[in-house]
Amino acid sequence: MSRLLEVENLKVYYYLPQGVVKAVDDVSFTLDKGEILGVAGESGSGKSTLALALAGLIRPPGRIVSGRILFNGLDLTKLSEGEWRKIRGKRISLIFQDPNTYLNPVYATGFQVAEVYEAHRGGRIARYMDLVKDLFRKVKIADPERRVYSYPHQMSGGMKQRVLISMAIAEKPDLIIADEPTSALDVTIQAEIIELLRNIIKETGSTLIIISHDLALLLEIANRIMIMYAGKVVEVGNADEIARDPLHPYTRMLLETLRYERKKRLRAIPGSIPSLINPPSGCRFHPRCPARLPHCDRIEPKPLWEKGRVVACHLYGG
Amino acid sequence: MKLVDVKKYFPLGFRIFGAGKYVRAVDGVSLDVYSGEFLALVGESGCGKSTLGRIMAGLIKPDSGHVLYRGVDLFKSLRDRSVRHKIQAVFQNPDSSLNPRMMVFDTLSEAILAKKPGLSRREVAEEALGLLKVVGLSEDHLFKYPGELSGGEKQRVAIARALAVEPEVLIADEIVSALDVSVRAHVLNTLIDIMEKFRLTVVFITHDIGLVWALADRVAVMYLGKIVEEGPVEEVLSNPLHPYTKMLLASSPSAKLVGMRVDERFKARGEPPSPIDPPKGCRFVTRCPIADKQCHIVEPKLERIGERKVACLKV
Repeated sequence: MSRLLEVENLKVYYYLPQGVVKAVDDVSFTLDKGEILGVAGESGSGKSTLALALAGLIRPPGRIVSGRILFNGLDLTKLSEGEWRKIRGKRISLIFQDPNTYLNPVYATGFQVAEVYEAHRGGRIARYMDLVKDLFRKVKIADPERRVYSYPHQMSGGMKQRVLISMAIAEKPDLIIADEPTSALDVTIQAEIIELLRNIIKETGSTLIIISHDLALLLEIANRIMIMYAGKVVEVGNADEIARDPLHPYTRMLLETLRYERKKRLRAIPGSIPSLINPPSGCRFHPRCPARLPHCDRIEPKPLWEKGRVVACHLYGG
Repeated sequence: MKLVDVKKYFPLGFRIFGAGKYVRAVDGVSLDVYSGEFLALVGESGCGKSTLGRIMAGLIKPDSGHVLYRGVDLFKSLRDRSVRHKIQAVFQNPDSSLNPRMMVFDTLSEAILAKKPGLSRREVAEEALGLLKVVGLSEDHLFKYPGELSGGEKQRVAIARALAVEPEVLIADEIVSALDVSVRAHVLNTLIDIMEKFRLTVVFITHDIGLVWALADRVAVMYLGKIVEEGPVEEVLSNPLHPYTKMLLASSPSAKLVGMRVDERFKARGEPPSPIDPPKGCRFVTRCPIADKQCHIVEPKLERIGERKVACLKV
C-alpha cells in the first residue's frame, strides 16, 4: 500500500486569555491508502482539533505552531485558504457529528449536495441532480428520485447523516475524515451507518480517519487504531492487536472500562482528565498511571516501535 | 411498584392542524418493579423509555392505566409529600436539572429542608456534607456553583439531592450518557454503593447494553411505546428471544466486547417508524427479518415464558 498521509511533529495550540491550550502537541503518524484509521480519546484529548487541522480548518485563536502534514507529498500546513478551497471537499472531505449544523434547513438536501459539484466544477446546479440521485442510491437512501427534494426536517437523523456522507464522497476524495459521525444516532442506526462507511471505503478505495470517544465502536470498523491522551499520541497499531494486547497503560485501562463483567464493580481510571493549559510534566498520564516509574514525572516518553506498534511509554524500549 | 396497562399519548400541535394526531409515547405498558432490585429499561430514542420513567417518578400523569406504589395509586397519593419523596429521579443533563445560580449547599439544603423542615442551619450543613461524602465529593464542593464543577461532579450533586429526601426508588434516566468513559465508571460505582447502603430500588434507563449487563438484575426492552421483552438480565442478554432484542445486541459494539453471542442474521436494517402512526400488527414488523403475514395483522401480546415475558408471534 502506498503512503497517503504523513503527519510530522504537528503542534496545534489555542491562544486564550487564560493561557495556551496545547490541544495537539507533537503528534506524528502515517496513513496508507485504503486504510481505516480509528482515533480514540476522551474529551480534551485533542482528537477533534487534529481533525480540523487535517482539513485546514484551524481558526484563531487556534494556530498550527509547527510540524508538517504531508498529503500525497504536499505540505498542507503551507496552503493558503484559496488553495484549500480546491482541496477541501474534493481531495479531503469531512463528516461531522451533528448533520443539523451543516445542513441548511430551508434548502432541499439534494441541491445542497449538488453544490459540492457546483463549487468544484462550476455550471448550474440543476445539471448535477442526476449525479446526486446516484449518490443517494449509493448511500442507501430509499426513493432518491423524491428524496433529493426533501428538506432536512423531513428526514430522520440517520438519513441526514447519509446525506452528509453523500456530500463527502461526491468528488471521490482520497481522504475522508469523520468526527464522531454516529454519536448522535441510536445504536441500530449507528450500526447501519458504520456498515455503509466500511462498504464505501472498500468500493471507492478511499481512506478513512474516524474519530470517536467510543473505542468499542472503532474496534468494529478500523483496521488501525490511534489512542490519544491530553494532546499526545500514546499508542498506534493494528486494531486486533491493540484489542488483544494493549501496551500503553492508558490503552489497557480504557479497554478494561469497556469489558464489563456481570455484577462486578466497574473498572475505572483513577483521577481526572488533565488541563491542556498546564499539562502534567513528563508523561502526561503519569498522575493516573498504575505502572508509573520513578522518572515518569520528569522525562517525557518518546514514541518508539514495540511489537510492530508505536507506543509512548517508559515501560518499553529499556 | 406495579404498572398496569399504562398509556400516555402526547397531542400533536393544535387541534386544527394536528387533526387529533398523537405521539403514542407509552402505549399499554404493564410492568412490575420489585423492592431492592436494579431494573434496566432499554430502548432507542423515541421508544418511550424516558416518558415511562417520568410516569414512574410521578412527574407525568398517564392518560390511562394505573401506577401502584406499595399497592396504593401513585397519582392519587401524590399530594402527600412523604409519598412524593419516596420516588426520586435523576436525569441525563445536570446542567438543566441544577440551578446555575444556586451553590451546591443551597441546592442540597432546599431538598433537606423539604424533608425535615425546622432543622437549624448548622444541622442542614452537617446533613449536606454527609450527602456529599456519600456521593464521593467533599466539603470543598459545598460552596461552589454548578459552573465550577465537572460533568461527573454535577451528576453526583444531582444524585445527592435526590438522596436528601430519603427515597426508596431512584429513577436514573441516562445519567452517565454525557460523561467520558473514565468518569462514567466512578459515578456508576457510587450509584451501586448507594443502592446497597440505602437499600434503594433503581430503575436505570439507558441505551447501553454493556451497562445493563454490568449492573442490572432485570431488564425490560422497549420498542415504540411497548415492552417487547422482559426478564432476568442473564437470560435476556445471553439468549434473547425477541428479534428486536437480537438486533439491539447485534448493533451494539459493547455487547461484542463483553463476549455476548451475536446473531448476524439480525443485524440492523431500516429505521424505526414514527410513534404517531405505528405499524399495524407487530410494531417491529417493518424491520424484522423473520416477520410473516400473520405479524402484519395480529398484535402480539406480552406472554410469559419461564422467568421472562416476550411479545412475539414467532416465539
